[in-house]
Amino acid sequence: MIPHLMLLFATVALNLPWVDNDYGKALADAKARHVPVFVEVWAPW
Amino acid sequence: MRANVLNDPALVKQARQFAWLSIDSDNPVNAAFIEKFPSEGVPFFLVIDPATNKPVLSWYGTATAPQLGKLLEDGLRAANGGGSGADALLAQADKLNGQKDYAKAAALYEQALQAGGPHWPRRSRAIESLVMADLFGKNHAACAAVAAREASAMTRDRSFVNIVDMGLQCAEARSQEMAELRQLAAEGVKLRGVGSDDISGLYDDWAASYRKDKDEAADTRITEEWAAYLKQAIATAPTPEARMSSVLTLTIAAVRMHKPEVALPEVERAERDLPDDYNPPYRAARLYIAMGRYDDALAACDRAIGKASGLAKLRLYVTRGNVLQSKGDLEAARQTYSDGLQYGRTLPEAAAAPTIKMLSEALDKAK
Repeated sequence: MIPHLMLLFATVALNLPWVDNDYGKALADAKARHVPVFVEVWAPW
Repeated sequence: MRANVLNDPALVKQARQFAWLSIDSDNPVNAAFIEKFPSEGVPFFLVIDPATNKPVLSWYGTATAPQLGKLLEDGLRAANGGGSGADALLAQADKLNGQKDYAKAAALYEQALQAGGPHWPRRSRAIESLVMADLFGKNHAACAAVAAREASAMTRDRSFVNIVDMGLQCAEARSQEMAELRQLAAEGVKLRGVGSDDISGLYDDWAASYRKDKDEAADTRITEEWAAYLKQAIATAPTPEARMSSVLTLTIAAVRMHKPEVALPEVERAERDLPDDYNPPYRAARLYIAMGRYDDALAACDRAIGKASGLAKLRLYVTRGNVLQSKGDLEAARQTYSDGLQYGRTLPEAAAAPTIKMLSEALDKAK
């Protein structure tokens, strides 16, 4: 059980907290924490 | 990049320093964002200052995880101030570049390079940003001159490949810069440890440089080498997702070589591997068009339209109509353009406008 939990934690911790397709939400988060917004703009392939 | 670079552990350490936003440029819900922050292409990265709602740094194309980590640091400096000398000049240049004031940004990048000297740790990135600013600012003479001037002395890495690539896009036919950059391109495509998308992009523009000179033999020779490189990249990619970019690019090289059949087996395999993705049938349609197999192209278009959504789906109506026109079925072509226009009206106006214009013009011509 513990190894599974550790693996889950590692997976969560190793991913950045991306906001998908919602500039308003990301901007509100940035303003609340006084940090800039980093944006990745992409297209499917 | 999301699958590898953007979740690299080194970047995750900077998680708390930013709010992280991912924007699918084909998704209509992002129309307002794309209108406010128009891009010259994808992938495109921005650092936005939430206080002013303006970009303070922009970056096009790929980057390695360490390069992206430094870009993030530079984005923080551009947003918050700080730094001195060359670093401060770079931050000012980045801010102007992010706001698309390319001429002023380029002048400041040059000043930063002079202030930083040959051993400045950010030299390579600053050269890359300078050449990008000249390219997007349409100062093609400066873009080619800087690329030719700087690239030969650079470390042979991803930045080198990208700078040579952009220089080739800018260089005039039969110019001294073109000759120098072609020599560097021959070196660049052989580099190990540079991503296949970057090498493939360099092949593409290296071949295109010969089309500027109307040198068909050299264009074909480089395009065939490019196709062989892509086939190798496809063969060694570990997953269907990792193969996809090279498969899709192979279709372009194959059509350029007038050998569309070369790419067809890979596209068909990609469609089997990733059955929900509209891209393989869309690319198959392009290949079938080049082969004159219009019924197959039509069937592939229909499969792609069934899987696509938003702006991608809208663009597919143009392709489907073109297939029907090539087939000589004008009535069905008009119906497809009309169907596309009807679908386009359900999408956000600003985002859909360019494709709606194409559909309207195609409908008029098909009458």
